Amino acid sequence: MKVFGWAVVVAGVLLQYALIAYYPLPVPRALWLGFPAAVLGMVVGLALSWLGYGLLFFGGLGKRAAELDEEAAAMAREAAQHRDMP
Amino acid sequence: MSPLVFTFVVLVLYLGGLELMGLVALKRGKETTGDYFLSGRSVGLIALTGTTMASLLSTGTVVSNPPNFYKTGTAYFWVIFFGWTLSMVLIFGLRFWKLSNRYGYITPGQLIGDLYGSRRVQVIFGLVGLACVVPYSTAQLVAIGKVFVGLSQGSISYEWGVVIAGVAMFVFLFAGARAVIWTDVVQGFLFTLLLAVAAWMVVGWCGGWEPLVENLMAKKPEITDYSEVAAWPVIEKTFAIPALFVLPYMLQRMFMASSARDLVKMTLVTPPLYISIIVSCWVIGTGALTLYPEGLDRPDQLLGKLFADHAPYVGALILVAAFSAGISTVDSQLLTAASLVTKDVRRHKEGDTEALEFRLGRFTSLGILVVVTVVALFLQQYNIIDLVLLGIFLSASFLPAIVCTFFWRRCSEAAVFYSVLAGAAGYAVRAWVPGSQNWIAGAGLITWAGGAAILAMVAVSLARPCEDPDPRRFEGI
Repeated sequence: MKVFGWAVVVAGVLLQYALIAYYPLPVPRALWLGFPAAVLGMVVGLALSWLGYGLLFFGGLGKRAAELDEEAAAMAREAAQHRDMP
Repeated sequence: MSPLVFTFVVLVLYLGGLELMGLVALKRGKETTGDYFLSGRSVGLIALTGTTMASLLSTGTVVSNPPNFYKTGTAYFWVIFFGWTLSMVLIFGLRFWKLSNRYGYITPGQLIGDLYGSRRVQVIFGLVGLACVVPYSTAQLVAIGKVFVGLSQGSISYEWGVVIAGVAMFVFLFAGARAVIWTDVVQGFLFTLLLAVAAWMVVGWCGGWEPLVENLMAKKPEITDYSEVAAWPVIEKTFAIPALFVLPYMLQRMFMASSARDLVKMTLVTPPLYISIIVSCWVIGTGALTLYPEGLDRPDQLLGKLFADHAPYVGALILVAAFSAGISTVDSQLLTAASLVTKDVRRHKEGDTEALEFRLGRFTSLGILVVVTVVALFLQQYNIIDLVLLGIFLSASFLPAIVCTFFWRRCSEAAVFYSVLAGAAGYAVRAWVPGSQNWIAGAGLITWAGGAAILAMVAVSLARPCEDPDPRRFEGI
């Protein structure tokens, strides 16, 4: 899931780069939902990256972040105990 | 009540509310540097999102983006790339959070310097950080002054605009990061909302969504694509995405988070907000093409003209939005600048107490505020974009040092020091040596700064590799 998440994030970046760097290949001068295709293409690229973040979060990064929080809390408790010692 | 009086009333009420928040934050603050600069590392998800968005966006977002879409069209949509900035949280943000939380670092320079046990690395991070942040914040004050002139139709002078902004920030900087963050949250969400409202109103003035886009496609189809931006000078600006993230005041947002989970969640929350802001600006800018098809004498004052012509009372709210966007960036930058002076640049003496450092930090941030306010008073005629770019593009000097610290074992203390120094020197050469723009075809400031930093990093790391790297550099997340 981690690899897949990063792959989706990178795909979003590449889509946005492709839209700018390799115009006019993928972007017809047309409308999608009333927006010029170029505008919507960029939004779709960023939205794709957003999906990638979601996959990363639910694919283990959220759990790892929770573990980091636990480690930090444990260290804070330990430090407080040392402070309380006579 | 005339629109001008209404504008004053709205501004006074708004500023009064913000100052009150600042005073409440002051009462809740503790007199420590951790509390003053980082709000006690206790910033939760909503506040973290608000302050990061407010720091990421600036007066230019509200004031310059719609005119740029008006002049350039969809080609200017490359700015949406900045929505990627916070993806850096997943690679570096969590590492910075973990180390700063564990060892109590206040500035990025302290963190990197300590990983190499090097005072000079800390100092170079502090000095280059100041060179990034101080001109950038001055540019924001200049932009605020111009906003007052444009949106009050000249009733409020440039000088008064700058002074009002300076005075408004005095309380926030006296109170510290908690006041800055609380007001950032209000201001960040406020200008996001007001931009959306402004876009919705512009669509209405054009007769609806369909007439707006039909007019665009019929009269200006050439500005609905990217045909004019497929060139290196524009594409290289996308490297500003990671460079923006490593600006010291952005990195300090990572230190402030109350938990790692909030940091990760923030990367999920911010892209939709960012998309909505840029799309709002596009709608305002391209909608104005229907309303002013012959062009404007001063397109930079598009927002002022739009609202003066169609809804003068709402113009007061847009002024507040632009003011909010500027203030919320400047106060964060000035607080960070003070922390760089206090923690990185200043040499600590034996016997320095926490109380002394706190007082020094507060005095320094207020001192820098006074200096940048006075300097901004004399810069009305200058193009502020140069100062803004100085901030963002110069920070590319930090990138190889930060990346290689965590991912390349050979990266040594000398490599980090000379890499940042070479990046700053590369920037200076490209910016100030006549004819340097022709030395490497098409390469702009960020390519020079980043390129010089990379070359120095590789050369010095190969010549003098790190023999005993600090294991904390490679702990991962």
